Amino acid sequence: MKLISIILSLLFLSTTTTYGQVDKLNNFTYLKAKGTIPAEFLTLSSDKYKEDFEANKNKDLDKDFFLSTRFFIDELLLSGNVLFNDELSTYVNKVAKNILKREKGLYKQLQFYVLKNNSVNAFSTDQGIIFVTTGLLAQLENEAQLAFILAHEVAHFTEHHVRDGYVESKNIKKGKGKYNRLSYEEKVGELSIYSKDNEHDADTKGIEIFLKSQYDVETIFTSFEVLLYAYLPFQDTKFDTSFFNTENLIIPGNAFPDSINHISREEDYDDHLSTHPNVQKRMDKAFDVIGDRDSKGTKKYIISETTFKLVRNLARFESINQNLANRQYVDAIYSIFLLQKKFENNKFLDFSLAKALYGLAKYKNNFRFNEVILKLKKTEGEQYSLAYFFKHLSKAQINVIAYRVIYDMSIKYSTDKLLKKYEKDMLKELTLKSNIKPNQFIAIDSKTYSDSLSSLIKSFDIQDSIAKIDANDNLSKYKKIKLKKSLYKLQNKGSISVEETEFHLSALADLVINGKLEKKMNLILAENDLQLSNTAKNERENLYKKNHKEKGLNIQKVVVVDPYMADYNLSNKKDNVKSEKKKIELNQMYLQKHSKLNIETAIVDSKSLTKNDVAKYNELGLLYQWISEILEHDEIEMISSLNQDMQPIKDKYNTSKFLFSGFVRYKNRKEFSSNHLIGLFLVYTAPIAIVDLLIVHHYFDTFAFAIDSDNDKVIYTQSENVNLRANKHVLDAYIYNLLYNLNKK
Amino acid sequence: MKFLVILTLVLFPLNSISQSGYLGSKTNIQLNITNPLTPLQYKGKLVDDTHYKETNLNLNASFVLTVNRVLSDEYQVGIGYRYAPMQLFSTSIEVEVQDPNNPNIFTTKELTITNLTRINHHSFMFNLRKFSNGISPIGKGWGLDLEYGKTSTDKIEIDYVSSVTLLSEGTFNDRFIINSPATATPESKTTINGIHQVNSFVIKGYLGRTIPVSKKVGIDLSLSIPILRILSYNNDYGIAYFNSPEVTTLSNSTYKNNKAIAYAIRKYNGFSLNIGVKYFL
Repeated sequence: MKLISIILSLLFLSTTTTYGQVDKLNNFTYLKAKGTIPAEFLTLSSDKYKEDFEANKNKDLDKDFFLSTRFFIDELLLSGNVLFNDELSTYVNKVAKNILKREKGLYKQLQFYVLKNNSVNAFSTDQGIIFVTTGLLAQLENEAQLAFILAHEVAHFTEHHVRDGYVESKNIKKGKGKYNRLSYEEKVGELSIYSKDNEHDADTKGIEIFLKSQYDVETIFTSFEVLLYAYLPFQDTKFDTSFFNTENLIIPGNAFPDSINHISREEDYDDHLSTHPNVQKRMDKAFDVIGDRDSKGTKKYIISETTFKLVRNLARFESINQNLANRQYVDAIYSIFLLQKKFENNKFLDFSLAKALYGLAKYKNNFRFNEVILKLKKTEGEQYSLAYFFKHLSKAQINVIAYRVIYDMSIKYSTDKLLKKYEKDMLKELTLKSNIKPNQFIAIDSKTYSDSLSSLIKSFDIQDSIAKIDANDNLSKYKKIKLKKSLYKLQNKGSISVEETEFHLSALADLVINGKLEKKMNLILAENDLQLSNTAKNERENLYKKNHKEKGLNIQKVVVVDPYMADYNLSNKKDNVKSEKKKIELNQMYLQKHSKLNIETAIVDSKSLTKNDVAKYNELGLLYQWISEILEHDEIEMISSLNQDMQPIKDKYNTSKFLFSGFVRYKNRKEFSSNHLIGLFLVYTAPIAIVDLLIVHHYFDTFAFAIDSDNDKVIYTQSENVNLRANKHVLDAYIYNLLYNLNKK
Repeated sequence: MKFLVILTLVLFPLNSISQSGYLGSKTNIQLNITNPLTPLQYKGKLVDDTHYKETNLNLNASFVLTVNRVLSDEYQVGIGYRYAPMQLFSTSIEVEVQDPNNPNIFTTKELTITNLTRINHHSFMFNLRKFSNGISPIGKGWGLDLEYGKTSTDKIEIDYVSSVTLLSEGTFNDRFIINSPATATPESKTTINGIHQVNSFVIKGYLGRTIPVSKKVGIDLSLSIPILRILSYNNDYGIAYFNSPEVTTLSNSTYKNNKAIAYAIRKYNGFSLNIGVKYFL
């Protein structure tokens, strides 16, 4: 009985655990940091720099080292993209603790975080912070590989590679000691060698740490393979050519290539300019260290296989968010294809597919398709099929596929308002930009259509067609040549190319049959015509109006996102300490209340976080990603992939308006110009010209743009270069002016 | 004057073009001290008919009070009043001297002026400023000043000496000693009575910047550059560099003295340095 109850409890536990994991993935939106913010995130960079520099006993490490490293790492920490206290970082910490269980003192010196980034990477800092990217976690095969990678990074820390590397690179660049009299190319080579030596050292020491654990030794070699093929997606599975197919949308087989670019990377690639040795060399070295140790009694999982798989899946899901935000739509679709094999009917995956296709259609319609499509020559493996497919689609075809998928999603998730928004916008794109007229769509089902198309191709008689062309006296010689060329091409192919195939015209047959599609499209066309004529009318009227007033934005609340401040000295070098101090003062200026303005400001900034501000921390990361995506889209008006994730932030601050702004202060001396020459010639202005040349002139650049998150549109931009010393009052004046411009009616 | 008042009444209500001003302050009061950068040149003729010329710094400030109004992010207009206790550029006075040997013969001699009372110059001005940073009224700017002024007095009081001793052989640029004990006669005073009046209309360019130093106060540093100076006197007019004479010698004739006053006004409205304080309302 007891045994049965134990078994039942275990079963229940595994079910709930599995269910809990599936639930996490079913309800996935994006990865977030949790709990309290660690202390190193909250300490000012200038305090860290000062403390570490004063404590430093290595004379070779100068101020520059501590300034650049502390500020750079802090920028990364405060980017909002670092995960802590969540499932991924907790798991990474557990694995790290396990491999260092015999060196608890060392473990206490280190901090392990996960960085939301699709690059397959891990790196450590001289302060003992070790980052592992979600891109890497997505690629790993097992926990032991993670353990080895962590051990490698720990070894970089224990061997002081970052510090020593800095000193050595300085010596190389200055040509000190044995690097004296080296040419530039030789110096680059030396730097590369030094870096590779460090990597070998880290591998060796990392293996020593790893071998103290119970992890499977074999996984060291497979870890190198993960790194070797890191440029590929996390799986290399043949793309299912019926992936997009529905009852009405049937994509012909010839839309996909017969062959793909095979994976070409070899273990012994040329690494002479690389910072890392090639995989072959690393494997050979590892083999020397490991010797004849075998995997007996060792494991691939010590902490938890289930948790590893959950972490990996979460990382893979997150990779789609990263792809969408970085406009890597084809990568996103391929990843979705891979994940949907295991996670059918996952809303996040479905929605992401809709977003990716929407993005592709938008860029195609705006003649910027090359920016978002994979370069075929550089694409290897099974994802080549997908890249090829999209590359050869016409505008009309992409729009129809995108609309089909989005429409079906909007029906499947009928309560989702955002999907409705996508559907509406996509229909507008289809109507106005795809070059298809409403009456061109075919109201027959696709099977009938493709059958008729196939029989047409089969019944095609080239000789008969050529005879007809020759007999037609109305055709010119050159027209006849062109037509015959097309016919011979067709004959040789034996089929019509994807562009010629009109599969897309029957893809919406169900919507065409009931007449709704044509009605909706005609309505959009009519609205568009009206809008165009109104715009033209307004422009004509405004030409004649003397006091034409620009309509104000009338913004009454705005969230200021992490105001930027940078201070450059006379040698054009950023003064990080001053910049940080001024930034903190700047934050307060944005929060000042002005009685003459009816605008309220809230601020989300990286330098005023407290340990309980994890929500704000996540908001920062999301806002940065959101703004970055919108700026990439530039003039393409489209719903951002993060639109739904922005909703909680809008609700929290009770506004949809976000402001990004900042100042860059710098100074220099003026160069001699024609104005000075004229000034010198005139007696009275000569002293002024001389003073102008000698004194240090102060300048600052200011920028600001406001975005409306309701429609992901930039609603206000401002940038200026000002020849003034940006003291507190000048900055106050510019901020006031900015808020005034946002607030005016 | 009437013109300026009407202009003010028309321009000030022009709030239809929106602007923020400096932290919401659209009106400011400014007090400037202006000093011409052109040097003072002393020219004169000695009793032995030799000439001299001397150059000194021209420390003759005038005071300007303006009330300005921001029109837009770039433009500001203002009206003001300028007061200058003006030092004439005159260093000699022509007098008729009786030949001691021949009482019926009079010759014109120049007596060296050692001190001269200042004449008050008043003017009203209208200014327009354009700020290049799009945030008037602070920052770098350039603009125009239109100024209408009047200088008048009913007497000019002069201290003079009548003879000097030369240091060396007389040449045009040599310096001389005043009140040399050997031969100089003591200073004497004279007053030239009569209504002296010169009106002026000046257009000047402005180039400078306003630097805020607090929420309410800013410092203004600028240069004034003369564009057009029209002087009206003796029922005639002169335009600087065209038909306006460079007269510095005074005499018993108000006609001639007006020319000297006109010259001084011209110099006062020359290339100048301005330093001021702006108070934002």
